[in-house]
Amino acid sequence: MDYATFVQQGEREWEAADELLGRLRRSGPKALDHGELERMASLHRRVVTDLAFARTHFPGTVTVRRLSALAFTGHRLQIRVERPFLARLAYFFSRGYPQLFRRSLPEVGVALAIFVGFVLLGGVITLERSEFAGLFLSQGTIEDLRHGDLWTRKVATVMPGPVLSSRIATNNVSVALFAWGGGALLGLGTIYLLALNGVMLGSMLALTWQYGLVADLGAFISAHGPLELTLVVVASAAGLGLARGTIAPGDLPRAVAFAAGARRSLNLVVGTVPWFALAALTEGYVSPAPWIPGGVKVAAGIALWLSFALWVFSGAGSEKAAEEQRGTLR
Amino acid sequence: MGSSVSPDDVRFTADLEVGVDLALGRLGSRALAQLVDLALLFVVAFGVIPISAALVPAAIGARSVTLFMVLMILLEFGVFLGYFVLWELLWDGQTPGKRLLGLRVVHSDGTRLTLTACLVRNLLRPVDFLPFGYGIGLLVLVVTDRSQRLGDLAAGTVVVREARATDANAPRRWPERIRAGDAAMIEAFFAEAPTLLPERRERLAGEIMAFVRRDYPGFLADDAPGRSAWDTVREAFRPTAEG
Repeated sequence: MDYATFVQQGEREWEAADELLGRLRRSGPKALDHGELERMASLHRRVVTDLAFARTHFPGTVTVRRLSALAFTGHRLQIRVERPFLARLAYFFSRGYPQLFRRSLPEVGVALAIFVGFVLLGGVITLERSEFAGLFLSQGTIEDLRHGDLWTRKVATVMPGPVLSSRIATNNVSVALFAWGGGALLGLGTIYLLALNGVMLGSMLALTWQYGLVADLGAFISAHGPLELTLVVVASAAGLGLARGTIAPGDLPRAVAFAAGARRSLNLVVGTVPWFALAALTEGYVSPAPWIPGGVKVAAGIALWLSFALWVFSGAGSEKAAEEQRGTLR
Repeated sequence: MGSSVSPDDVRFTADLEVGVDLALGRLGSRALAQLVDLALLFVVAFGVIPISAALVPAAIGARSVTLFMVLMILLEFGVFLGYFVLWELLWDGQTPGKRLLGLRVVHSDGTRLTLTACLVRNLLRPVDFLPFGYGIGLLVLVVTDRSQRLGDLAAGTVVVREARATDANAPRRWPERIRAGDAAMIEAFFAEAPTLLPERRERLAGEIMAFVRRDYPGFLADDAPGRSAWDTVREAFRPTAEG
């Protein structure tokens, strides 16, 4: 076909497709009535076939670029049918996340092992050479410890609870996001974070033990600590999941394995965000309060940790039963 | 699809198995878009937030000051990541900077950006930013053949350059059986014409006139005294009226 004829014959419909796509883009599918949507679909098919023809017979012309743009927009704006956002969110927190967590247990185990290893390392080094703690604590704080004064007593007096809690929450969520994102650097960022936090914790426990203050520190961290440390380990497990695609992609191309692992592992972090908020509220209100007895703090810590554990293992039984049932049917 | 041969860098398979070629947003345009976005962010983070933090507590009671401080902390935290996530969701893969530069984020199969992909590519942004100024992101972007940073690789997204209005100009009059290469060349000439110096435009129009007379006899009007080559060519290839 002649170029002039081709353009002349197609022009009116390309123009119409452009107009409808413009409205669809600006105002969404609800702006078009049923007839217009059907016309849109048929115009889109026309644009795509014209593009195939033009690419073969008139390569390099403006018409090819124009049809490419129209086909791209039409392809992009295809109407997706999906469940509403709130329904997806509800499913994620009730069923999706616990399932995902259980499937990620191997990574959680590895992250936990790395973390515990660095806690022990930090502890042993500090017991051998107590000046090692000077890397994390200021000289004044260590001086206070020598006089039997734990730094946590000062925290509460400086800032009001809500401000303290939101500081802690935003800080911890940043740490969790970095524990995940650091996995993209062949897992090195994640391991660095686990090492830093593990060594710090181990070192402080050892130092307070040496000055006979470990019970005070324990009372301070018992309310929020178990949950918070668990969440950091889970976020790091997500980081390891992200790293896995780049290090051990299996049968898949590295890029594909990386992308698949990224979505899955991000979900593993996103589910921890509300729990980080809960832990931060506890750390801001309960942990520093001198009038709450140590026993209550310990009980609160156990309750928080248990509710997280119950959540991630909820529905495990029914899932197993369903699997077994499928097995017998087969 | 060598980038030196064709301007089209990425091919999607659209409906009916037809490939659609699009140009990728390369380093330059993406860096510029990023600068625009960071400038906007800078205004919010170092202008709006501190100023309101200084003025608002005086205006409201002491009781709400705590609440206000909490809001400020959450805002400072959310502004860098939230900025990109919200704009890209709201504007279908565009931020103000990307819109200005004609860029758009899509999945690498050409479909619309989804929530998960948007979160993945933007929550990995801080890692791409390491050690400073998008160091890692730049490195990955130059070595991947579809100009993706780490966040794009993880999310399975690409940043494409959308066609500009000038690319889709009106259909024009053509000689019978014009060869595609000739049509493409003449279209390119008309697209460039507004930016050319008059004498250069006149010389190129003269060359086009000579070659059209030779290959497509009878299409151009005969020479009239005092009439420029540019006018003759423009008249011959004039846009056709709607219809």
